[in-house]
Amino acid sequence: MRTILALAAAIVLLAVGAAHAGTVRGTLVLYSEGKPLRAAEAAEAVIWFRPRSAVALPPPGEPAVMLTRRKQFHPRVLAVPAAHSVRFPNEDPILHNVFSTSTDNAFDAGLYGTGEGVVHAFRNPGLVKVYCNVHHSMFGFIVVLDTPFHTRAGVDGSFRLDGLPAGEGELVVFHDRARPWRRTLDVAQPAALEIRLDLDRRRVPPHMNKFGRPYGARPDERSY
Amino acid sequence: MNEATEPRPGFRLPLATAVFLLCAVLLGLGLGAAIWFTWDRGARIAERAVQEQLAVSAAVQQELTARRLEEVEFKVQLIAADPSFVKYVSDAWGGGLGLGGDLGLDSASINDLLRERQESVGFDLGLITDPDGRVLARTDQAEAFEASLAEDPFMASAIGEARPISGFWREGGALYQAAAWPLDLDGDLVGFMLVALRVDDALSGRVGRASGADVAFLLPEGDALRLIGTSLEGERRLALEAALSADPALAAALRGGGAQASLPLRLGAEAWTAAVAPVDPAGGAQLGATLRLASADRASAGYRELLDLLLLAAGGVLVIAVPFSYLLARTTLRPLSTMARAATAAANGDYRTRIGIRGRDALAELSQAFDTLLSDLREKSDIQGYVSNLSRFLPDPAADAPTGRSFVTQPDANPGAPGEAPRRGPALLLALDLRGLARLPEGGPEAPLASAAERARDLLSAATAQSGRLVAHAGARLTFAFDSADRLARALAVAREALRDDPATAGALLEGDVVAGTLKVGRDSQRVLLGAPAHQLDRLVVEAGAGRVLLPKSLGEAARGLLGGITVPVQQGAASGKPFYALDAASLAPLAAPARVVDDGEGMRTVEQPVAATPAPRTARSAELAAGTRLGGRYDILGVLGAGGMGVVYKARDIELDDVVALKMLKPGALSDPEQIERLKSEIRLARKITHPNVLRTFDFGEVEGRPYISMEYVRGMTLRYLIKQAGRIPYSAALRIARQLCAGLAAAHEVGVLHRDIKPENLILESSGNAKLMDFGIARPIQQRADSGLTQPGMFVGTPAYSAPEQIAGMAVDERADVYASGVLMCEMFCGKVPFESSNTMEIYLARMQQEPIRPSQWWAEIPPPLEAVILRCIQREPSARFQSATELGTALSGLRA
Repeated sequence: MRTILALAAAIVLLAVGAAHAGTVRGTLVLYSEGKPLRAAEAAEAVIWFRPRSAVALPPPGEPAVMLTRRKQFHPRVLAVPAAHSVRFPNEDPILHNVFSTSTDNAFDAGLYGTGEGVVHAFRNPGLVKVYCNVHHSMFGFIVVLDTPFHTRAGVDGSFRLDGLPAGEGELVVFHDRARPWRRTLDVAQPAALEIRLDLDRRRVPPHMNKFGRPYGARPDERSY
Repeated sequence: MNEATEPRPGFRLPLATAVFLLCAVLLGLGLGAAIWFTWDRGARIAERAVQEQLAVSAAVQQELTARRLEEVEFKVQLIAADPSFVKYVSDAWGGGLGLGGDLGLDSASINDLLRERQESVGFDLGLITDPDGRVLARTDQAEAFEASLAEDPFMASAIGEARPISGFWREGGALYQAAAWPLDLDGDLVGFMLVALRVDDALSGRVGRASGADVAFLLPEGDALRLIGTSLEGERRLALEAALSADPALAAALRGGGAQASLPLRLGAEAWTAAVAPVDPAGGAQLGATLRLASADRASAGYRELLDLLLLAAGGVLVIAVPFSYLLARTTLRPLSTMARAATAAANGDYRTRIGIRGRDALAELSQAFDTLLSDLREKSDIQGYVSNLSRFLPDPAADAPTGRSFVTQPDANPGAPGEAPRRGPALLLALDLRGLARLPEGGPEAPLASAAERARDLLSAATAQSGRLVAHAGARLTFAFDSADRLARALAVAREALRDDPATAGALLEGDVVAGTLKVGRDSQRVLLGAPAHQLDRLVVEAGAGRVLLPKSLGEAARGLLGGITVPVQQGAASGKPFYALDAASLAPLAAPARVVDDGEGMRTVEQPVAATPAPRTARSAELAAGTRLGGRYDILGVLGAGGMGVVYKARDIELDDVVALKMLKPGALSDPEQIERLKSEIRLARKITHPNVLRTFDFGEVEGRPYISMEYVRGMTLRYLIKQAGRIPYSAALRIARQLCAGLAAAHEVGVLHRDIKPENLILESSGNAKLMDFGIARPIQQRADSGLTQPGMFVGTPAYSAPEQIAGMAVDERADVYASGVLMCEMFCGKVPFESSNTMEIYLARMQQEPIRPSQWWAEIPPPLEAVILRCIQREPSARFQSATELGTALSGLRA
């Protein structure tokens, strides 16, 4: 009897433990043009896990930071759970603007110079693209999650997500220049994932001649 | 054109018609060539214009097309450069993260944005694709159909290399000029934007208007060609479509994808030229072809108009010029036909036409020369006729009335000297009855007399050749006497001659003692024969039949011997019926040939006499030479031509040169002193130099048997004196001709330095051809004065006062003008019949000249032409300076008077 009980308790414990103490870990390697990038580059990507059953989100704490430095958003990709806020400080000596037109998360911080910037709370999950309306080449991506489980890869490319509830869920790796890597997996089956993310989002090569004329099929090419 | 040149009877102008036709043909050819040339050239120029138009339009079209493409490029760049636009597109495209809030592809928004841009920027088609080429939205579709342009040849390179591209783009059944641009967000490819402007009528219209040639864009669809845009309007457009569908060859050529510079095309009734080029050489045939069209008709319209005008002008020119040239040819060449007719008439002996065209051109010159020629011929024929008419009459040289010295030459009708002495003695008589003259021809008395004279002359010549003499002449009967040793043979030879000449002749031969002499009964002198044989001869002749010569028995026997012993035929006498010996021409044939007879071709005969010939009967003048005498071993005297103050003139034969000359034997005492002989020689030397057809040539001076002689040209003819005596005055044209020739001869003499000083009608001889010769230049009289020395020497006047100039009569210095004076007097006498001053002795004549005015020629001849009268009067001016200054001048003045 006792053995049966012990077994049962162990199973339950295991289950609970499993249910309450799942871990996913792996290594993320970014590839570009078929060649692997340095391991440190993997930190650019954001990794999150969405369990099948909904999990309560933690209450918002310190706002995350996405600063503007040298006319770029740092980090370029930021993951926050919903209802969390993000601060947008400006470290450039010039005026910057932060805005987004993404659905349900649109905001506009206005123009501001060096400073702490504004804080905006993102309530709805989704991908928020953040721009500066002055500097059109500035991009930022804020992934507003509906799950608290998110991380970034380390300098060596490894990552680890703990405390995952048992059961199935989806692991997503997001990099703005790649297609999102998604996999459904079961927490109870630990495995060291080797994730390869191809940054195959195409870039447009420089194509203008110095007079600004594009290349094209023109029968009458005149150069002055 | 042809109707006008129909020859009308009696008015044919073949030359003019030919000239006119030639002109008309040349004109037609010239105009035709001009028109054809213009037409041909015009067609070529129009063609060239069309080609140029097409070539120029090609360049313009290219430029326009390029500009439009640039426009499209700018537009696409304009739109793509808008970052909010790109972000909008990027946002609308979603992330696919499964986080919720993903909208997925909002094609409607993109579509709406595109349309907005279309309105503001202006393009026909705009579309946006995702980076892989999937069409996200396009302005011409509201629904977002699943479509991808990744395979589209135009977009493929853009999509593949994420670079912009522009050019012609065919999408389905439409052709665009499109530009595609990669949309990027900070380098990340978001998608592609394509903006396109359609190739349609609007573009074609713009291109057509700007380039000057019409244009059409064709797109191949299956087997056919579709016209997607053209600048042609209305009917022409329809015609083009029809042409494309109707002509498969054309369609094939156009679809071929190659360029063609010149393709003839018919749009309806108009002729066009098209140039084909592919729309985009690099893009391939499926992008279609452009057709540049130029209207050949329009190009050549200007030239057609010009050509029409030219045709009209040519027609007008022909209408005016053809009849005009016909008239001109006729009028200009009519004189030629007149001249041709005159020439034909003249060739047939009729010189009466006169053409008389005045003017200065070549035709007038020709007609004037013609008239002169005809006038000359008229004169010549006149004078020839006149002279030959007169020469039929046997001239009587004894009828001369000498007013100085006279010189007569006559036809050689009677070589026997005039005034023969009567004689008596035995002779063989031959009587010839010219019965052929019995039948008188129609007409006046002149013809029978002339023929009688001719026959008489012939017989006389024959008889003379046989040393016979004419002893009686009665009508048609001639009686000759022969008294040489072989007189029978000679008489028979003459008889044979007579019978041969005219078979109707009858004759008789008799021998006996007769008296021959002249008998003057009343005013007429006649030769007569007296004696019994004369009567017997008469009877015998009567007995003779035509063609026979009767002989008495003794003569007949003798004749038989001569004729080689033939049987002498016997005939019955016509009157008595008795038998007589009768010889005819045939039986006389075997007679030996008579002495050689030289026929000089004009009915006269010159006989070469043997040196020991029987001397001819001598005349009363003792100094005369007889015919047959050989003078100086060189000359054979043939006869006497005349006698004058200085000596006798003989007709002689120059043995050395075998030529007949006239020898003037000067009287032994005529030239007494050597000085005179020397002067004579120098005059002769000068006179010898004159070689002119109107001057009697002097050949030589010599001395033979102590007698000086001068040899001269022998001329047979009559003197002007004789003519004037016979006719009273000479007819105008003949006299004019004589006067002109006189002047010519005189001028020739004056040129040599010889003055005539004795011009008078006796010194002008006319040959039977009418040619006048001036003779006796200062020769046959002592030379007293020399005109060239200019010395005034009173001297003896020698000459003929009636014709001499006053200064000559006065014995003063004379020059050519004295000869001119004498010529004037001669002309007056010749034309009018009388000299201008009437008088009988020298003194009166001189006084008349010095004191009185000359009697005007019109007094003697009322119809004298006033110019002629003026000329004559000028010649006989008292003052030498008032006359013609030279014979040449006088000759020129006379040339102005034409018959």
